[in-house]
Amino acid sequence: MKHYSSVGKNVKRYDAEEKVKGTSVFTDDLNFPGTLYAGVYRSPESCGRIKKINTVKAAKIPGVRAVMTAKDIPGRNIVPVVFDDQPLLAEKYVRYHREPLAIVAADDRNTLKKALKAIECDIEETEGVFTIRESLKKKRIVNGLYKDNIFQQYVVEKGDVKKAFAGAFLTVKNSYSTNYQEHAYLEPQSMLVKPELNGIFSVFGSMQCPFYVQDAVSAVLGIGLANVSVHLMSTGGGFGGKEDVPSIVAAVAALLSHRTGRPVKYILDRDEDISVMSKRHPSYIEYESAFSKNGKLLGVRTDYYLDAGAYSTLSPIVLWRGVIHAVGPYECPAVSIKGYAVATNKVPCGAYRGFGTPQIIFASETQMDIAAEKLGIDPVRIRELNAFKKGSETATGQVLKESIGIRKTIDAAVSRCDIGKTRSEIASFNKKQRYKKRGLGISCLFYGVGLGARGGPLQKGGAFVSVFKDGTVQFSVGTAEMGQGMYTVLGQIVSESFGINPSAVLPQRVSTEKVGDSGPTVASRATFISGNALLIACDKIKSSLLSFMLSEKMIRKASDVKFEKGYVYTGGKKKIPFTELSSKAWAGRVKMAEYGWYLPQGTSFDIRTGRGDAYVVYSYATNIAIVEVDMLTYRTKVLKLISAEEFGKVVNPLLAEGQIQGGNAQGIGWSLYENMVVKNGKILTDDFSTYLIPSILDIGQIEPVIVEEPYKGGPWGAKGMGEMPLMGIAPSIGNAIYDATGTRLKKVPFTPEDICNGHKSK
Amino acid sequence: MNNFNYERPRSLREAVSLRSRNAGAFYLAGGTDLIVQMRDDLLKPSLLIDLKALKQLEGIDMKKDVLHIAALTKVSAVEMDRTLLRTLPFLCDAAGFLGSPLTRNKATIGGNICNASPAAEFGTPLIALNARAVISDGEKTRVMAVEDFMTGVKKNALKRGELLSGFIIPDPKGHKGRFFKKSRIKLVDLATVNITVIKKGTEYRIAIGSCFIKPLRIRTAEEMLRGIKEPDARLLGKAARICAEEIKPIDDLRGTADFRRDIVFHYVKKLLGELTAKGGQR
Amino acid sequence: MKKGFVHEINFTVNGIKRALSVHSNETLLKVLREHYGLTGAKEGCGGGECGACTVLLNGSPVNSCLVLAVEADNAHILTIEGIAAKDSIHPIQQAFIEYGAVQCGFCTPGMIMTAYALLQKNPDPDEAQIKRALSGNLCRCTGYVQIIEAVKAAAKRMKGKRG
Repeated sequence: MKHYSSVGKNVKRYDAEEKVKGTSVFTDDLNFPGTLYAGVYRSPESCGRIKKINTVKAAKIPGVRAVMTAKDIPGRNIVPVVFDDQPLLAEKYVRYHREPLAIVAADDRNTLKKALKAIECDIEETEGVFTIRESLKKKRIVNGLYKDNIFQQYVVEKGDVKKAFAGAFLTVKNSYSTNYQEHAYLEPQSMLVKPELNGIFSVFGSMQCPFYVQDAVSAVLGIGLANVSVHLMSTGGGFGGKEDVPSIVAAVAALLSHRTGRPVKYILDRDEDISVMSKRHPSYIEYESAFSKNGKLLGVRTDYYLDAGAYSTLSPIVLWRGVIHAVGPYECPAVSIKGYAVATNKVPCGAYRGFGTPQIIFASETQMDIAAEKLGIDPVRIRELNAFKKGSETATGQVLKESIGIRKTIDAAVSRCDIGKTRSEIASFNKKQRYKKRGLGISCLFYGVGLGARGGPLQKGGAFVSVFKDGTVQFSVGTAEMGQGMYTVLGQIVSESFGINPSAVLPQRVSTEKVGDSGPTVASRATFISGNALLIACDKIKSSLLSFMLSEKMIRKASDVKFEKGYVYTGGKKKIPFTELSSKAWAGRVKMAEYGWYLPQGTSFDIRTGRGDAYVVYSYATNIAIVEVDMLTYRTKVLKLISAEEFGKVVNPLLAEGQIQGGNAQGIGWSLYENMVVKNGKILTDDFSTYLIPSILDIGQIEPVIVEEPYKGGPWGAKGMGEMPLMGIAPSIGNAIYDATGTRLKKVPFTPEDICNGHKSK
Repeated sequence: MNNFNYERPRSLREAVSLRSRNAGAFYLAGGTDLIVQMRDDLLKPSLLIDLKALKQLEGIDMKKDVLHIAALTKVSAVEMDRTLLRTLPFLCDAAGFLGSPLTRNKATIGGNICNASPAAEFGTPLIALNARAVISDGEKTRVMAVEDFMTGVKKNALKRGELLSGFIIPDPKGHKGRFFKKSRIKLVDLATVNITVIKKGTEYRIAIGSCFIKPLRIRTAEEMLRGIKEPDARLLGKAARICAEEIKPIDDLRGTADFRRDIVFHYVKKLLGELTAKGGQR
Repeated sequence: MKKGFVHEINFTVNGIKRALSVHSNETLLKVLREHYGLTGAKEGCGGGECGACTVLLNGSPVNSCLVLAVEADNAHILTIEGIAAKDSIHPIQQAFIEYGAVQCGFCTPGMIMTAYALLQKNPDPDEAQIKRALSGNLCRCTGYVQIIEAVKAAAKRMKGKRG
């Protein structure tokens, strides 16, 4: 096994010091003289025809610098994502509550508020479509472009499903549903756009995907992509919520900046952010599983519906990922998976950590538990029995060849938990306690790393690496740092390549000026894609250094050379410091700045047939939750959560643990507390006192367990991991609540009312 | 937020007189609720009368077996007051359940009661303690039960030209009590239900919040238990049942009416049980 | 001292005496960020629900988005920029770095200010006291585990220093 000097170590975050000192610059901390404040006037109705938007009064208020509606957009009135069906500003119809109708720029926030209040609209309200069920009836059509209210559907089929079910010892059929989840990144959506000389617009903001933002600004302004430079500021959390929607925020600021010739800042208020930005899709799932007597999964039949909202945005790919992962990390010879992204008159949903998988994992992992009980098999055992191993085939017919860690994660979680002892402690607790009941639940999952086949042209990534004459190194990538620690992880990957201390490697702020379009920062792909692109660049530089050393007779053959511990070993024990080599190479005019371009290879999935290799590689996880339910208030407390995760080689364990703990906490939130209330398409829970995310008091003990199963194709063996920690938490908690109370919950979140009703109906 | 005039009077009389002279004036105590409402333009005061300089309106004092809590006493001060922790710890519990620690460092007990939310954390313990509100017009004071002071959702009995200066709790010793708040999440959420039960000798008091337009005493249940030293489980169940029946909860974001009745039933029974069982200290 | 809606206030910010004209409707958060460039305190919700704007007002941590600037007349304010000199670092800040308690960093200044106030009052808090004290500061990234560890470690070090 390779010995690493930087990879696998808890290297300090590059940005930690500025963040603890409060000097890290977020978008709202940035100020240019003459900056205007932007705001959006939004539809008071969920559905209707726009008869008139009156902005005259608003425009006359002193201090108001611009008021614009759809007709004032110089470029195209769209938000470019997948199908480009969403207007930036509604023109003829409004399709969801608070859809943008007009935009305003003013000297200060108070004037802005006044102006927004002074705008009036006349909307002829029509009856909207608010649920998946209504939408499927097709009585009312949300958007004329989609006559059947379905944005996208997929079918994945394999084997003889009918036969599998007919011959099964046990079949389990249930319906499941899940509610929205709001990202609740602590920093609201923020953008600042500043006009520069020569018709260039600089965009500074909080985002995951600078190249999406560039695309959107170019489209609405009708200017070239080269006229738009996007610069990433410190970004206060994303979780998918800053994937596509920052395009909207930037486009608004850009239009007003274009109109006024001034810098324009658009920072969303929290209520606005919760009401109009993307969220995790609510879902409805019918799921049927067939098992043999000894617990082998024989067949799965499922219909998976996502409530997409009024525009398609990212739903086509969110749905795809859900469909591909519908069976879980298990062998299953016969499957029929149908997925539908359904239009409703509600806020468009989009990306959220897990991207269409947490919903279907909730269903599939609850099914597993129900089957285990009916078959009299331990819930751990039934998962082990079916788990992927080398040579297993996925639902799409992909044969898994390497780095398959699911069994390892099951073992690791079970042994960390000391499951036998824990179960007997729970049993004796429950015997003694009248009002409190404890239970244990498990869930397993897998996750296709990167965008996969459906990512199409976005599956790529660039990197730029520059070695200076003093041996320090600078690098740039096209994926974003949003708090996850990407800069640091990538710095470690680079420093490992040159065998130097990570403190000699510095990331540059991400900007569209530095590397080519590298696709989005999503799908747990930054480490994998940018890491590989960086290694390509590093290898190019190292190869130039080798040629230089050969020509200078510093070495006899290239294979003698090793880059380690700050030195370049030139054969046997001979070595020169990397700093010295850099300086010599600089003097020798060696090219020490290189560009790396990485294209993931090996996906073959065909949308029409639903067959093929969907992703290049998968990561795996097993969760065990231990809960306590108060049988008087029916409040559930997660006492302990053990999350064993396998994502290849871990680059920075401390950062990885932070990702696991944070993802677990969001999973607890979605499972127990975060209950979005929507009435006639209007979100009622639009602040942190009604939409409750977990506080420090609501999180029990969280124990991350990192399991390694290096992957040859990853940078130093790494895969991706950012999303997994959230994905399987709901079923582990749901299964634990069942274990504690005997109430089987099929709806997320698990509210006290639901547990109460379940309990009473017994 | 609109602009407004701001005054920080040096005397009670000045404060009250400012209030009577200005129709659009509001008192500013902690401001943790008021400023949010002003931010959202739900309230547009023409004048804020900041009571911060009136130091006599702050503090907790035991005089001759009467407990005085001044209106501007910070919630965090109530939470951590040594005398209260000894004599009426459930009042400290209630304080500790109000908002977050950051809110408690600014919010005041008087503000919480004047604001008169049905879910007000101090509502149930104060009415269960038979606490009295002291109202000043700058010269004279009048006193009324806190239960009557809170008159409805966001409504109180103050007249223009009056100010709530504090609370009197007569004879605070010998109360055993329990405060309970059911919320969806710990601490920072508003209550789905809150309950205070008190036992003093063989007298019982039960107050329930978030289940009517204001916190309620359930006197029928109290009367049923009066005089009984150790009521049995059946009787406690009966009292709890009465409570669940007498409240008038609604369905809202924080829970359904049925669920609230259920919680009230179970928890009144449990809390009373804890007070009457041997060793029920608090 | 006032003229229309404009008020003259005198207060101490990070140990420096300041005088400033403010509008009655300006919050302390706005004044700190916009007049003094102290942008460490952040606006996460504007309604006192997230704690990202936490500063110490006369020694107690409060949501500065719910404090009017005029209220700060005669007050002592301490912000994240004031707990350590420019080229030094406070033990709490150091512990946050070492224990991975920082991810996106938006909640971090507020979180550290609340922890700072806690350790001033209670140099040896147990885990329950730490959790209780920090319960008004939301963090969406970390799941809080490493934050708790960091505060514990900082307490230990600060105690050691005091002897």
